[in-house]
Amino acid sequence: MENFGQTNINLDKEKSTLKISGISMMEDAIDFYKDVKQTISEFLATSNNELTIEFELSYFNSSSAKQFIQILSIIENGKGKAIWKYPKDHKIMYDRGRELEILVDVPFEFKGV
Amino acid sequence: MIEVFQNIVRHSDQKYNNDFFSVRSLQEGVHIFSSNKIDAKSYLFLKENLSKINSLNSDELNTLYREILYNGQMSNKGGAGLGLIQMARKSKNNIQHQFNKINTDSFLFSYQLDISTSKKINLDKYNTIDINANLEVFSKFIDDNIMLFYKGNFSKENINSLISLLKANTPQESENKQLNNYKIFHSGVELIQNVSRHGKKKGNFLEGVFCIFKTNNGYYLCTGNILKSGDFSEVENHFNRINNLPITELKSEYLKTLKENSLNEDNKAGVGLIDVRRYNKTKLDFEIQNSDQGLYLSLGVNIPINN
Repeated sequence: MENFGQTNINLDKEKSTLKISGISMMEDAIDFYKDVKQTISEFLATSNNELTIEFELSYFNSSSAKQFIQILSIIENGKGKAIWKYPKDHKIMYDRGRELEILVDVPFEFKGV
Repeated sequence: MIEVFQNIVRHSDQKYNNDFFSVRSLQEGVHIFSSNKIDAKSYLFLKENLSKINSLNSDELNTLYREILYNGQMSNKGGAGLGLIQMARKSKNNIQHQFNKINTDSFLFSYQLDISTSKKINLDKYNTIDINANLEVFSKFIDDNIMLFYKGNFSKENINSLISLLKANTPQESENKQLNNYKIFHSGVELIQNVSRHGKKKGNFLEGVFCIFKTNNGYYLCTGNILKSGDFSEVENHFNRINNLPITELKSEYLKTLKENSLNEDNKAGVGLIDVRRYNKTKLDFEIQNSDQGLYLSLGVNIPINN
């Protein structure tokens, strides 16, 4: 069976980037992203750099959407930016990124890959 | 169970779309049933060998198994018949089977393994399922265009398997395949997770139903489960409110609700079903019933496929 729960999180402190990739469709998204939110907050508390959050997802569910808003809210007010990578020509995943962009005060950059 | 699957692949006619596989777990046994179209040669092979296998006792089956293993007899499609003998050895019961002639060259072959879940109990005619009962279920599924019916535990592993089955059995190739595939997959994920989120657990067991129907213009997905909380009018109002939202307002409602709920430190996004309605542009089909254990929610959605 395909592993639909495969979400990859990678924080590169030197480059000040956090990458969330794969498929994010866990039912207990709050538990999964709890450590991610804490890591971001700790990073921003100890670093003078802005954080770039890079999303490269082929799908995410509604529970994950809520967590993404909370994650992005941490870097609001000039603390970072988001790069939304979506499968090239996948209009839906592009639109889903645009919807997140509307809900937070974070600069978004869109890249079809 | 793997042998039953492999037999479908080995002996079935690939152009025939009504292959059927089911597992039913009752109090004292597990009953694995399958039905598929076979050619006349396979019919003769299976008829003769199943008759022989069912006439043998446990020791005789072991002897035959070893003989075939060494001599490689009884084969006509690479299976050597060993799978059938293995199934009979493991189940410790006759392999129930039936052949129905479709035409001169093909037959519908149905068979069933009845396996006791307790080593101490051998299943007998009083605590097994007659193959005809499963043939009736099969017939009902064909008539109603049911592609998949699952009733059982909505554990994380089982949910992933259900979503895999949904994805594998509903691939779209039309011009709008991106949107169609997304609608089906997303609706399945949100409906199934709605069960695991709001369903009532008994210990670690969360029983629910998930079903996929093929319709004239797409698919119909539905779930059923006992709710862990909420009263009748509260649940009814919730679904009526989503259904009464105009299609043109579903996106803004999605954004507004997601933003509001993101302020709360819980797992509730509250937008899954709004999204299901938004992408399919159909109303949620729901029914709430009072039961001894609480409210039972049946929820369905029509997924029209855009060409």
